[in-house]
Amino acid sequence: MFDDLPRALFAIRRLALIAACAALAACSGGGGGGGTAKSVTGITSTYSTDGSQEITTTTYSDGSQSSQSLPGTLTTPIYSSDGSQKTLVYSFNDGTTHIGATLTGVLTTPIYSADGSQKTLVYSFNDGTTHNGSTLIGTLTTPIYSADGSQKTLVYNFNDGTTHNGATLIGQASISWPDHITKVTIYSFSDATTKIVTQTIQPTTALPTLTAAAYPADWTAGTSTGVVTKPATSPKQDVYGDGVVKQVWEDGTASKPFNQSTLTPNGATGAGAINDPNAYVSFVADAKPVNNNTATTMTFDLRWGTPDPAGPSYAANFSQGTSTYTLPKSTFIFRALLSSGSGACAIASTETVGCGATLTQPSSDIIDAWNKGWTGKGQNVLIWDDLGASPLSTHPAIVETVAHRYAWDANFYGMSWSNNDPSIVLNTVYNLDGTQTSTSSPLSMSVINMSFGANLTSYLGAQPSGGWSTTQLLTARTYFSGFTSDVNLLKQTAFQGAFNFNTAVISKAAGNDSIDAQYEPLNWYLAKDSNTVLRLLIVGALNGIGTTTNKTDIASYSNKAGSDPTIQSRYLMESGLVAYPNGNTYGGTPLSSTDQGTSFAAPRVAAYAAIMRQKFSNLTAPNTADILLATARYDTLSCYQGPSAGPTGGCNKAIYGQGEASLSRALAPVGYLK
Amino acid sequence: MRFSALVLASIIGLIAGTPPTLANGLEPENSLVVTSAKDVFPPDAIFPKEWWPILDQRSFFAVTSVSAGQKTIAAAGESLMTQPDKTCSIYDSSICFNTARFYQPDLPQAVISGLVKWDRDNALLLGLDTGFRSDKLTVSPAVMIGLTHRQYLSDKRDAQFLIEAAGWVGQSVSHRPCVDQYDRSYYCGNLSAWSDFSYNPHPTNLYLKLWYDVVF
Repeated sequence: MFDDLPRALFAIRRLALIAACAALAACSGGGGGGGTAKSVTGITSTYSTDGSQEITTTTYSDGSQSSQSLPGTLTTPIYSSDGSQKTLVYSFNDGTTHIGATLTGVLTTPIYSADGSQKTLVYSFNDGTTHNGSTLIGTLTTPIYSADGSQKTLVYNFNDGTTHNGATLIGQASISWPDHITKVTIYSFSDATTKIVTQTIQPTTALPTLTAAAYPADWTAGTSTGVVTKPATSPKQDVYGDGVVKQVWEDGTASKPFNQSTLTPNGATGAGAINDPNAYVSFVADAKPVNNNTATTMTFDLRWGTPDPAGPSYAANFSQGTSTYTLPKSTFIFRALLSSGSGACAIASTETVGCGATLTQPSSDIIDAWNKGWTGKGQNVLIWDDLGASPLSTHPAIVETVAHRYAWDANFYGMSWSNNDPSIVLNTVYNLDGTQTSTSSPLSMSVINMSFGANLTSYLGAQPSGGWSTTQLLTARTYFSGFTSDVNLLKQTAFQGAFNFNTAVISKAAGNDSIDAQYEPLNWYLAKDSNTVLRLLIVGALNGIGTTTNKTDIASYSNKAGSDPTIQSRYLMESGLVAYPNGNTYGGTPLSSTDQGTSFAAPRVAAYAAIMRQKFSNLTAPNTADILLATARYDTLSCYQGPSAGPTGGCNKAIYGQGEASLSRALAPVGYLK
Repeated sequence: MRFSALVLASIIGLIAGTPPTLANGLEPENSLVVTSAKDVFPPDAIFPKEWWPILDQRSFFAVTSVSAGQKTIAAAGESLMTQPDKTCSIYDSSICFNTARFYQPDLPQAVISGLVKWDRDNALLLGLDTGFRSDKLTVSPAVMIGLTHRQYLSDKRDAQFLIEAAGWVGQSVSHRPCVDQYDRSYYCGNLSAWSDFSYNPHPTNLYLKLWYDVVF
C-alpha cells in the first residue's frame, strides 16, 4: 500500500499547483502579454541522467513551459549479489526515491579468515567507497615446511586462481637413530599429519695426542746408551649424535700413522712433538689393543730411519762427531731382528727399548749429504740376496743395514735367490717387515743390490796358492751360464705384474776370490748384456774409507777390475767393512765387526745411487751409473802418486778400475755447465 | 755493502733557497739504496737562527745514491746476489766451475735514488732500478717511491720526529738453472740441486723508519 504513496502525493501537489495558477490567473511562466490570462495545461516530471535530480516541467495554455529541478539525497545503495556492482539510490524531499547510476567495483586487498581458509573479496568504487563482496572457501594444497621440518604452514587454493598461506602448525618431534649417524625425526602436527626428516650427523672427533718420546740426557752427550721412553698416544675419539662414544685406534702402519699434527710436546722433558709429516712411526704389534673400546694406551716405536726432530736425529748425531749411533729399538730385516744384543732383544714380542743395533759412523761426505737433505727419500732399493737360507743367514741383514744406514730414508725391499727355508718364496719381493710386497700396484726400483755371484770354490775346488788357471776360470764361467736368467730378470719391466727392474741401477759386488772381475761369471754376463751393462756398477772392496790424507788400498780378498775393458770401465770401489761394532745380533746370532767383503762395498754404492736419484729425479739408471763412475777418484787410494803420474795418478786401472766412489763428487755437476 | 759510486747528498738540482748542510756519514743500512731522510732533515737548531727563514723556504731535488755496473745484483733495493767469477759445489768444494758467464748482464744494472724536498718538512723519495738481464738471472726494472715528513717538537727546532715510508714496486726476479752434462739442474749461485733452490719471484721492500733527533 505504501508503494503508491509517493505517486499519490505527487498528484495532490500537481492539482494544488493548477488551482493556484487559476486563482491568480497569472502562472504565465512565459510572461505572455496582452493581459490575457494563461492557464496550466500540464505538468510533467523527469529525472536527470545520473538520477540525482527531479525535473518538473509545467506546460501552459499558450504553449509555453517552465522547469524546476529538485536535487535528491543519496540513500542506501543497492549492491549486486557478488558485491562487485553498486547502484546509487536518491531520496527526494517530496518523499519519493529514485534509482541512479550503477558503479562497477575494482578488487582491492581481500580479507582472510583467521585460519586463512576463507577469502572475502573487497571492491573499491569510484565514489571512494569499498564493499566486501563474496567470501571464497579455500581448498588445502601442498603445505610448506620449515627447513628443519618442524613447522608446517597450510596453503589454500581459491577458485579465483589465488593461493594463501594459512596457519602454521608446530610439530611434536619423535627421534630415532637407525644407526649412529642417521637421525630420523618424525614431526606430528595437529591436523593429524606427520613429517619424517632424515639427517646424517657426523660424529664430533677428538684427534689423538701423543706424548713425545723422552730421550735421556746422554743422547746429546753422544754416548747413546740411555733408554728412550716410547711415545704413547691417546685414541681418536668419535662422539656420535646419539650419544655413543667410540674410540678409534690408528693402526700405526706407515700408511696409516696417527695424525702428526695433533701431537703434543712433552714440556716436562723438553722434547717436542714429532712434527715431521713424513716421519715413519711404526706400531709395536704386541702392544696393540685388541678391543677398540676398552684399550687405554697404544705404544708406538720410532723405528729405523725415523727423523725425529724432537730427539737426536740419526744424521745430527753423527754430525756431532759421534762414532756410533744406537737405534732406539731392534730393526726387523726380512726374517729376523737386528738388535744390539741377545736374549729378550732377539725376540720381537719381548724386545724392549734399548735393543736397537749400534751402527758406526759413515764417511763425512755422507753425513754432509744427509745434512743437505740427501737421504734417498722416496727411492726404492731392492736387496737381492740369500733371504731363503737355512739356517738363517746374517748376510742379507748386513747388506741391507749397510745400504740402509747410508740411504736411511729410502724404501727397502728384499728378494731371495734361494729358498732353502720353506717360508721364503724364490724370486719374490719382500718388505722389510718380512711380508710379501703387494703386486697390486706398479713399483719401480731405483737400485738393485746384488751381493752374490758364483761359488767358484764349489765348482773348481779350493783355490791353490797360485790361484785358479785362466782355463779353469773360463770353464767355470761357461758352467755358470745359468746366470743369464738372472740377467734377464733384471730387464723385466713388470715382474710378477708389478715390479719394474729395468729402471734400476745395478750395484754388483765384484766378488771375494782375488781374481779379475771378468772371471766372476755373474759379472761377466751382466757386463755382456747390452741392457744391463749400461746401468751396471761392479764394486770392489777397499780396506776402509779412503781420504786424501788417509789413503786406503784394495782389500786382499777383493776381485780386481781386470783386463776386460767393459768390466774395467764399470768397476769402482768402496769400503768392504761392515757398518757396526761387535755386540749386535741378527736373529740371535752375533755379528762380527771384522766381517768384510765386496758384499758390503756394493750396498754403499747402491745407497749412493739412491741418494743421487732422490733429488735429480730426471736421472736415468745408466746416467746415474755413469756419473758414479766418472766421479770416482784415485787420490784417496794408496796407489795415487799425484797428478803428474797421469790421469789415474799412477793407479792401475786393471786393479782399481775407475777408483773409489765418491758421493760428494757425484752430487756435484759433471762436464760442461750450460 | 755499499756501492762504490755512492754519491750522498750530491745536489744536482737546486730549485730555490740554500741547499742544506747534510750530516756527514750515514748509519749502516741494509739497503743498497740510501734514501735516509734523516740526512736531509737536520734540526734547524744546528744553524744560526737568522738562517731559519731561508731554510724554511728552501726546496730542492737531490740524488742520494747512484750505483751502476757493480758486482752486486740488486732487487727491491737490496742485494740479491753477487756476480760470481766461479762457483764451487756445496757438495764438494774442490769441484768448481766458471759461472761468471751465466751472470754477465746485457747492460749494467743501475740503481739511482733521490728526493724532492718541496717545503721545510716534507720530501718525496724516488728511486729507479734499470734491472738486470743475464743468462741465468733476470731482474725487471722497478721504481721506488716514498714520502718523508718532519715534525718539530718545539719552536726552538732542537727536537724533531722524522717519519719515512717508502717501497719498491713492480720488480720481478727470475732465476734459471744451470744444467750439467747429464741434464741435472743446479742453482749456479752455489751449485746446489735446483730442486732445493727457492727464491721470491716478486721481491718487495716496503719500509717505515722513525727517528727522534735532539740537539744538545
